[in-house]
Amino acid sequence: MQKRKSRIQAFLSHPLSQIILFVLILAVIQLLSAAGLISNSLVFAIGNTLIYAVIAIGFCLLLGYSGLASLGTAGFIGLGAYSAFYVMQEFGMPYIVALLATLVVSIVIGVVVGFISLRIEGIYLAILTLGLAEILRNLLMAMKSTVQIEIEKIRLFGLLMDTRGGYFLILVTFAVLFWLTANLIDSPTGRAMLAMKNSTSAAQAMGISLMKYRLLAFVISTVFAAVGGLLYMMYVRTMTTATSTLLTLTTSLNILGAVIIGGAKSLWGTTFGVFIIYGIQSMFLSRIPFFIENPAFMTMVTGVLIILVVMFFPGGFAQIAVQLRQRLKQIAAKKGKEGGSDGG
Amino acid sequence: MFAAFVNTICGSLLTVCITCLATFAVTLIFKTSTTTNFAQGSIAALGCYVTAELFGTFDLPVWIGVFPGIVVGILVGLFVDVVIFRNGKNVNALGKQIITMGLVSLIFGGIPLIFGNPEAIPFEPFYNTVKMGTTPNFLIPFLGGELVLSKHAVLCAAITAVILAGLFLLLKFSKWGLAVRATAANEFTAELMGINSYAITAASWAIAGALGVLAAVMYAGGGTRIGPSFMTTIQVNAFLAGILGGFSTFHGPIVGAVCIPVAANCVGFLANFPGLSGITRWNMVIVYALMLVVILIKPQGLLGKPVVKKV
Amino acid sequence: MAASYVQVDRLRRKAQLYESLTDQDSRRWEGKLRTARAKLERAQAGLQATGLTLPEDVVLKVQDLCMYFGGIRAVDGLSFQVKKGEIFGLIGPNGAGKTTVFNCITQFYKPTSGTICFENKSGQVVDLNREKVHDVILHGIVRTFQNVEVVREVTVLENLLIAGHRQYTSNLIQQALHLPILKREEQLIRERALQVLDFMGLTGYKDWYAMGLPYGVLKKIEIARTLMCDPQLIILDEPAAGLNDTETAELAGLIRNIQKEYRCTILLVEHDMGLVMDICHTVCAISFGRLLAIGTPAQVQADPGVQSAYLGVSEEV
Repeated sequence: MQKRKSRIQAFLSHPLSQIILFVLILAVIQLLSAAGLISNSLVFAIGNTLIYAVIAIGFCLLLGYSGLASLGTAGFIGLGAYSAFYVMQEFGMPYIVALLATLVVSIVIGVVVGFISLRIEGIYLAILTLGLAEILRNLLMAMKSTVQIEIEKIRLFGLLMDTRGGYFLILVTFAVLFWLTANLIDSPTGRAMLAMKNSTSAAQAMGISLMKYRLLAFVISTVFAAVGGLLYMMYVRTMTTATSTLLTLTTSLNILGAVIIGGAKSLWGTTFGVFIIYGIQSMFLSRIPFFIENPAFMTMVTGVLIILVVMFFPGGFAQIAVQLRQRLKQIAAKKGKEGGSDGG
Repeated sequence: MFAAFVNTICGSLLTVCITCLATFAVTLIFKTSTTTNFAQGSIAALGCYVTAELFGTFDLPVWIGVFPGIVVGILVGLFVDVVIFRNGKNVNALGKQIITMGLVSLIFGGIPLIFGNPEAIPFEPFYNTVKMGTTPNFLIPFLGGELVLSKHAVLCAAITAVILAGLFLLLKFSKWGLAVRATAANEFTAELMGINSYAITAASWAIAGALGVLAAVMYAGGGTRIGPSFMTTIQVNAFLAGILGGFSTFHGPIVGAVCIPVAANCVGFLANFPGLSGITRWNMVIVYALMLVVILIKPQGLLGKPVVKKV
Repeated sequence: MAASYVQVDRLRRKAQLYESLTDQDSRRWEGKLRTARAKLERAQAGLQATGLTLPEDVVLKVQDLCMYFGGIRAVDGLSFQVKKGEIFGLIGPNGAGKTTVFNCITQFYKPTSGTICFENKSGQVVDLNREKVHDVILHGIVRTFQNVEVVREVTVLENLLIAGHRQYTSNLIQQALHLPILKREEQLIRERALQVLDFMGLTGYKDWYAMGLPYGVLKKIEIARTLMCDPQLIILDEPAAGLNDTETAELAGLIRNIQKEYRCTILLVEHDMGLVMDICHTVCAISFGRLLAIGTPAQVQADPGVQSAYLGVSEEV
């Protein structure tokens, strides 16, 4: 009995099995909605939230592990979204080509901006990326104010990616990127990033090239953001840049908020943070009149949470969860001891 | 053609003033608190809303209403430094940066709750109130053409010049200025020397808040529509100006703040040439790229000095 | 084809890794081992000679080193040599430029002028000024810091793994997919880290987070980290600062042990004269960035220049 329990625990503590379990649950939800048990809009909101989770995971690596902040997330989401539009709608190419285009564009721009700003100091990254995002938004808006993809144009290996197919594609993308990031964190790369965050001098003395790993973390975060933009266009299929908040500073700040609030060093914490900031809004609050009239209310709450978490709980919800679990364990151990002595 | 070019440059006068004020504020905080204040623009927008509300609801002229707005800017600035930064558990440079980002979120969300979401907020430029005639522009004959100078911009330029000159004189010659420079160089040593660095950083936040609101009111007076994020572009330019000029001095960023709007307008001027009409949408992209090239060649900025890190 | 030392070092490690894998499962890895060895040979052939030489028994030679910060001459024309396998002490009053010298050797500062020649692990003499700060470690130079720089967010063991960073040869894809080759590498480096922890008497702290550990332990972790990197020259910046007398005595024994066990050279800056005189074979005294005296501890102690620098010159002679 005990043995089986510990085996289950070992299974659950492995990131790969965690992610598979998570994906299975969300896949079942989709199937339940197909059977009419759950409303379609709720499932759609879950898919939408997962897109932000993809973006946030990349940001987690940048902020929690490398100790760098970027405000360019929205700009790279825009790059991904517009590459998706031009490649699939205008040129009629399949999804894979759009993915490749997104990767190439985001890597090239990420490397150039990252290299120049990181050469000076880590703190400059946020400034230069903020500038980049604002400029990109204006440029993209001037190029085309409304982008829209027809559903027939979204094809992956010949398969039509409608709302249901898109949902599964998002799930798979999330799972793969989550797993890769978890692996990277648990490898020399992740440790090198942490070393750099704690002490740049120690990292350099241990042979860690600051530029290499800072740039790596930044480029990974830009690629994830751009992939998020691509997924968004694939799933939602339309965006009016002038009125949508997707490409504004608010999105960059929300992603930052999700990572900080959930726990900058925990991928699950980050995913949880995204569900707090985007999920609650799109799944539940969007039905309550007060929140429909005041869409900015959640932005304000996000701001307050960011400030409080940085001030008092630098580890975010993940840290609070760990502390709670330890407390529970202590209590359980105490009880177990008492119970044991009773029995003996 | 030449007259048109001069007009283009004069057209950036107001933006230059606003950017200069915002840049000085950002630089002051960068140097005394070693953080980048991303909330600079949103605090300014909040103050500007107060001024607009006083103008729209109570008919208080903008040149009076700007002062309550500035007070709000000062109070929010002080709140950030005294209440938030001082009470956090070991908040480091990155933590401060993130707190200011959180503040942006807070203000973005808070403004619509306090002031509602009106379609357009009424506002007026400064000159309406000082009886400078009814036309918005000065027209000066110039090289066979006509030089158009907005009265609002000229007035703002005068105010900006006076304020910046005053601040630089204070920095250079007053005891306060010496204390700021000492804190900027090394906060710990400054404290050992008997400088109250708490008071210095708090004062910097107050000044930054005030300058921000003033800049925002000038910007709104120039005809820009007010919104929670209407100062974002200015703030972005202020930061870029700081990097371009080099954060290690106070005058470097100001030089950057003059260069960026002028350069943007100059690139926009190229649209007058045949075949280049599409360039306007690219002008900030080009300016940004040019700036990247400059800091690639001179990472410490145009007027910056290299800094050696102690290990 | 020209190859850099960094590439050769990486290929050498790769070949070593495949060797150890071949021992386990020869059929699967033999082919890769052969290619790795061939690549290594080609790269070694392409490695250009530096044309620098050092006397037989010298490992580090600092020649006319100058480091100016604006108008301040922190180091001003300093020259000295460090012999292989000795414990070399650098002493001087506060602000004499000792740490600056260390920072120049480890390339945290790029010297204003002067040369720093070093005979690395593979017997090649290199000019350190041409190396990047994070590549110095590949030649076998590792350092500690005056104010302890331990990665506080990870465990003690992980701190040592970080120190072994350059020994990993897996590329990004191998790491992102956690391929078997990374796991094998990780296992080898982990074993090594455990050995070092055992040597330093830190095994009990293995899984503790560095945050909140006592100062003496943090100092030991820093020294343990240097041992992870096949050190040829260990640079200790004030190892005894903040330690009490018992701990200092223990440290003296430890430094001697390290020198014997790892057969490396040790260069240290220290204010505790007792420690310096006790363990150093050669002592070099500097003041205001210039050399005052160099020799055995007794010689330096007796030098009138050194005495006046430390105690000040009496006005009435």
